[in-house]
Amino acid sequence: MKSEKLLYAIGMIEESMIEEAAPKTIRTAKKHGLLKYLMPAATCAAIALFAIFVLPQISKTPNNNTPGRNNSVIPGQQTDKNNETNSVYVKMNIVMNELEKFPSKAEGDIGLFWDDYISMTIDELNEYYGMDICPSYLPGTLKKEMVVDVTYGNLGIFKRDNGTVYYDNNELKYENADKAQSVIISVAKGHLPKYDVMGLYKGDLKASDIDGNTVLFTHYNDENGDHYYAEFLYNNVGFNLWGNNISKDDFIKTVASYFGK
Amino acid sequence: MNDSEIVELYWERSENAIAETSKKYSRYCYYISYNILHNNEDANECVNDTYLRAWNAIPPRRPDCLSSFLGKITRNLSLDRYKQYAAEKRGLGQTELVLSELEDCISGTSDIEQRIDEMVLVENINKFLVALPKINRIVFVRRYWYLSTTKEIAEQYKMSESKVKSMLFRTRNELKKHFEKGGIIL
Repeated sequence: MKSEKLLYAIGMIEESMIEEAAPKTIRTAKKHGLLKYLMPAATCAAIALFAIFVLPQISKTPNNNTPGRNNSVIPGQQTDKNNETNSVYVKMNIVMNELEKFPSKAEGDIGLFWDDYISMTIDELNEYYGMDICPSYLPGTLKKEMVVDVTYGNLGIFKRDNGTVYYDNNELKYENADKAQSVIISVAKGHLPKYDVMGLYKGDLKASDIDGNTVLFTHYNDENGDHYYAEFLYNNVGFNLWGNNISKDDFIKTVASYFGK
Repeated sequence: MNDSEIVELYWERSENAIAETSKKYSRYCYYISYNILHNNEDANECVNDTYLRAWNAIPPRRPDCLSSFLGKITRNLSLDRYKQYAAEKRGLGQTELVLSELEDCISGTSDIEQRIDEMVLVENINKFLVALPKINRIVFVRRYWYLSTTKEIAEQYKMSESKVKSMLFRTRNELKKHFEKGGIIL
């Protein structure tokens, strides 16, 4: 085929031109973007006091997908210690903000140079962030192995020769067999990695509380289904989490599992 | 570890060469392969095969630019695997689209196919690309070397997707004229 011959010939062009066009930038979201999808009153009325949750701790529980025995939502109930040694209680006050649509990204560019890239295993990355960045709980339908593709699961940081880390966003994804359900996690040290929806909506959204930590929860629908989103800073690590086509309870448990670490 | 140190490991026949190459360039090679194949497993295999090819090629080679050297291997391996896809009719990704776009650069008027030396063709493409404005060249290479989507290119270089498409369209036409001027008929 002639065009195939041309495609192969283009493959042999001068290396300087290949280097010049190398994908050195990746998509990132600016912290403050458009408000065009802001709902007039973005918060929904559904304020529930999720009191006692039993969350399995990854280090102690054999099956991470197994929810604790007492995982129902009991509004108004106080936190207490569980007698079971392999579980912890987390006090939560959850506000699920309904969004008409998730904010579109205002794209920014960060120059990323492959020479600066340091590939890392998940253990190395946990050490870098100073905490386990994987959730201790995942919905039972999802596979425990992370997806590894061009966007997710290729882990590492970009560090200059002088030792400065200038980009450390990493993306984890867990999905079920037919890929309809998933949990996606973006992580960065010291700041929210991709989105600051709370900042974007400038006080129109209500924050939740999990064990004394501020978390933003939102819910929205689009052509790909039902989505939950959460953002928070914990142990100086920023998280954006999406739960796609999973239940609200499962999503909240996934988010809450970080706070028992 | 810098590129020359990695290349030195190959020359020393140290197995760390592959580990260091993988650490530094697995993501880059994966990007290239995945754009062609759109299949995680096959892309990973092509990336692993890239290391083996590099191991066999260095020495005697001592590449000036390791990223492009590896990228070229990955690209060729992935295109070869894409041919298998096409044979099995399970091709995905950008390859089919890119091949169809490149038809624009090929003259359909000649009945007699002139067999040209591959290196002459490459030399002509190099000359053409060097003479292009930088942004046009980058967009062309991103599309036809890296097989990046027009959407991704538009986002990266802060252009509309339609601008990227029209820029590519014009560049393809100019390349066709360049070939014709040089007496190259593919």
